[in-house]
Amino acid sequence: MGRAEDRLSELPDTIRLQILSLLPRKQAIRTSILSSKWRHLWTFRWPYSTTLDFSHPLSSLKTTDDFVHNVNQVLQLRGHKKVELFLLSFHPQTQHHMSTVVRWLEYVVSNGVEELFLDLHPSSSSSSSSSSSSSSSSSHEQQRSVPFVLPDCLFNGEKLSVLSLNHCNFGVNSEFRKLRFLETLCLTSVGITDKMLMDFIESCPFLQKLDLRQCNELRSVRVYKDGLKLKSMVMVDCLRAYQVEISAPELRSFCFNGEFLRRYLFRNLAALEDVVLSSAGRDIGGCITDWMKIVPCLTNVKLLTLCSRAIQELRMEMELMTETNLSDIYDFFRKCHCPNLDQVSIELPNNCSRDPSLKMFLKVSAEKPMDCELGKLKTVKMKSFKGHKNEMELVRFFLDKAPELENMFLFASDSDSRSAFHSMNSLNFRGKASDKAKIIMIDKNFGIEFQFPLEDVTC
Amino acid sequence: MATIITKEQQEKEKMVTLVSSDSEKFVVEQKVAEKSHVIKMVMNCCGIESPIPVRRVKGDILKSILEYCEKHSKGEAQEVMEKWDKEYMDKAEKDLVFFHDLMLASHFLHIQELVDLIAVTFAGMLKMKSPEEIRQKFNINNDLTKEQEEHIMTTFGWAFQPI
Repeated sequence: MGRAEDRLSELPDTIRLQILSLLPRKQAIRTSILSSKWRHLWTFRWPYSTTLDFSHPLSSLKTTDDFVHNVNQVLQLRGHKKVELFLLSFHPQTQHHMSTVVRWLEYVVSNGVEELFLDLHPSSSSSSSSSSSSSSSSSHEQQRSVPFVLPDCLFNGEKLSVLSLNHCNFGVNSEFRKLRFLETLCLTSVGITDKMLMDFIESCPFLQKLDLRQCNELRSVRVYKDGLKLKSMVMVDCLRAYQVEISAPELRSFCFNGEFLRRYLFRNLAALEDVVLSSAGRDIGGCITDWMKIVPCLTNVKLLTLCSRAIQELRMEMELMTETNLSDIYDFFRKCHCPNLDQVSIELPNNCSRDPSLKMFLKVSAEKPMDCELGKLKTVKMKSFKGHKNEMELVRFFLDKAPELENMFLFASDSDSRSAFHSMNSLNFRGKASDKAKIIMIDKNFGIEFQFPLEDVTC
Repeated sequence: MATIITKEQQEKEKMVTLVSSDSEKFVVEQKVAEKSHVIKMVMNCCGIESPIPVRRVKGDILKSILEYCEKHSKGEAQEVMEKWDKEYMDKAEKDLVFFHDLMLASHFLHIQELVDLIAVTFAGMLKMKSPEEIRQKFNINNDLTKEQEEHIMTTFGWAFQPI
């Protein structure tokens, strides 16, 4: 079959540039890989810079007023010209500064801004504060400061594809209908209610990435809509959230970090491949068992990362954590059906050896895991590995149950690498389910790697 | 009332003949032909008595363009026009060869409104498509070397990720 003519590339450059100028930035960049006739063309779409980056710290001598003056001047000299990226790190402390930020937002929105990064966190201000606030009082000030309320003009940004906001609030009557081309929404410390989030999801049919961090007004997070395109979702430390409800047929990765929620309602997650569930030291009791309830809908998951790491301050609860945690992991594999699981990563508790009394609690789980399907599991990673008996049980478990296992990486705990090494050295590797499985222990302290069993090493 | 009719008749008399590259003749009102900046200039300097050759545009394209110009010389309500434009584009974009020629012709004849309209439609065709899909649709031959491709991917890899 003869190749038909490539008439698009033959169009005059002015026309092709006009077409490219109508595409969102990301799409325009993608044309660079079409052929040599397209490679550099997109860069000439605008004959001037379309990035306004006010996120870098200015000279430490500059005051807030200098910063404001500088931004004002740049925008004024620039005039009415297309803006693609706008990055701002600035902490507006006075009413005057807040209305100035509103004017800047009006400017970039009316000039078709596509990616907007707004960081209004006190510590991230580009300029040194005009008032002499020391770092110790900054948390205090944070509480006192009135949060910046996003102006309505922001939601007229019909061209917006990326919206990243830090430390500001949505107005009560914000309307998101015009943000219909939004693909990425990242909110950190943003006052957004359950209802607003639902409105957002309803209004943005192309939303692909949702990243919610420290959004403490969220209580019941509901993410569903007909034809939802969401592919990635992150939820970190939304302290007051108690339940999450997701129905997203295209969702591929879900990352959760924070206190364990009361309810996880997951439906329609056939594309979900990568799941990270981390309690990050908070709420240690029995979390993984609860996570198991999510599991019936994780049948396609290829990569599962569970972190249930205790932070140092929670020493008293450590023993609970170590013992039940590992049996929870057994439980997890026993009860859930993840036949496509490709990689498992487990962050083991890393500070229990410091308290000798804790060793008493490191008992082997009484329950033996039953048969489970790990037919596709290829990689297992364990961090802070100490070679304790229950950890060895877990190693044994994966060696026995994963016939296709290729690599097991054990990252030795800083303090206990010796015991980790001894335990591994005395393990009987005969009878492992997979012949090709390589067991590698990495000791970062000494910068060495061991492959077990040691006889196999020929150097 | 009567005066209005005579005015319309007078305008109707101001007809101009355009001849396409394949010698097809089109008789249209002057105000329709004026939508093309180029034809307008020709009419201004050479008058409308003799036929104006449009040598770089074929008959089927010129016909379609004049259809657009005629509709847009009527001054109808915006919603009506938007709807009409959409139907016009839907029909035109079905045949890509025709569509390219339409773009070239309206560019050549300097009908900016139509160029803008077609550009938006072209952009719509490129949107939400992977580079491979675009290459297939428009028969673009990828002549980049592996190194060039790698360079693009390392510099702008993020733009190619689905998320």
